[in-house]
Amino acid sequence: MEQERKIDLNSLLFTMAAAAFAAAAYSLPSLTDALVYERQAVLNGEIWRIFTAPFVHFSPGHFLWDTVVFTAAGIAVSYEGFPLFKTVCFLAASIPGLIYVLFVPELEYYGGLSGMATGAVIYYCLCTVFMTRRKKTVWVLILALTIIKIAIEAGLDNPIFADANAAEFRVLSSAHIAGYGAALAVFLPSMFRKKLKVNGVK
Amino acid sequence: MKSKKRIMSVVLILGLALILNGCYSSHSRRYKSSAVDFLYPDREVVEKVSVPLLSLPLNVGIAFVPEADQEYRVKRISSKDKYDLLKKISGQFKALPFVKDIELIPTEYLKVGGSFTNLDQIRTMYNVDIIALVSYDQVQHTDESMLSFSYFTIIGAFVVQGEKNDTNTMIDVVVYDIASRKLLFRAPGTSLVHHMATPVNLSEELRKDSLKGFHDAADDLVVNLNSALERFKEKVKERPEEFTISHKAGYTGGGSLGWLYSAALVIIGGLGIWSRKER
Repeated sequence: MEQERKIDLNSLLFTMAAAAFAAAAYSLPSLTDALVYERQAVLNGEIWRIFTAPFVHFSPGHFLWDTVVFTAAGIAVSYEGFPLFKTVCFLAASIPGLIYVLFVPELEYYGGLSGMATGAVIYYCLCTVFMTRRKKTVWVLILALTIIKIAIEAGLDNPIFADANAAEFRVLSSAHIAGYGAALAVFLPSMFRKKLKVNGVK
Repeated sequence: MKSKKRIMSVVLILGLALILNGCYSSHSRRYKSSAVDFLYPDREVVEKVSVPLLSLPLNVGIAFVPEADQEYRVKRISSKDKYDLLKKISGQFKALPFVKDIELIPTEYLKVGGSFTNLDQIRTMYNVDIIALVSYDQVQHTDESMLSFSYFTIIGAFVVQGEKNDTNTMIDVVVYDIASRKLLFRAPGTSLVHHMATPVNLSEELRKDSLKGFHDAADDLVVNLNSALERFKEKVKERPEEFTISHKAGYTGGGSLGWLYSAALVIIGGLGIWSRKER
């Protein structure tokens, strides 16, 4: 029987703050302008845009679903007390922007929390599957489905769930790959070093 | 002597009748331009419409269509006023993430009845993909009220506002994809200005009412344009067979999970957590 676990308040607060920040960035056009990834502005020295772009969204659906998934996954991670969640988020937020600056010159604007949301979901699934004794079916299923989805999106260069014909923006599967990669990059070394400590679970 | 008096009486009555008629006279003026007259001057020629390829982000041109009738070329809106109105309307397009640049095109670059041949030239000159054509229809009525009797005093014509002016304005924007000749969407804006004036400054007041009418209609248009744009975005999503979307350099990219995947994750994950708690 599993013991009572401590909620990671830091992660919970971080999740709520990130969701609130995304909501503020979506509601205030001036904040959107200051935070969005804008290639030319980044090249002119506004480096923060690489890290703040995930909090910017371009349509109500874009904002709603990205934020719902990120918040749900963040709360779940916080309640389980899985550590290093903020590291996953930091990597998932910054990697896409860096890649776009270095390798995708034709991309002028970018925004969206889906990379961080993917990272949070995958990290939760990995921790639950490998670090707890619970039933793994659901979480393995999510891990597998997500990797299949990303592989198809990347292969076809066409999102299979988001609207490919959306007028607002082009959906970038690379942000999801970065999120998945960030979760693996944080989880695997920790697991191998056996440093990942889940409160009360061995 | 008697016949002289009779003649005087008849002249007096006729004069009074003329003056009264003048007091209750009504005038109307109409100023208009038409996008249909500009695009389809030759009614027998039917333009072939194809599926538009919208290569995002778009360069958008915006222009007033030229007034067709020479009579209307009596400048009701000056070039500066047109520019101000275009700037106001173009602000709505500028806020869109899939719009890269807005070009305000002077009416002088459009020919009367220039049709799509003229738009093709504009497309080449300004490198625009789609064009928003602004047309207007303004009618001004002037009626004289009972107060106009005071004009007999001469000074009354300077101080009493006996002229009732109504200015009805409609501004219409049609947005076309130039290459495919396809109408993407349209939005109207209307206004009604009521005003009183003295006969001495009537034409000045009419000009002011006219300009106010255009600005009020443009404000209304901006609101309607916003709704039309939202409906257009929905249409693009719902009817992919009618619009082809591609992306060129300078596009906007977004990390988006989509509602289906997000909902599936939340439901599956929620069930997973719930079933664990049940045990």
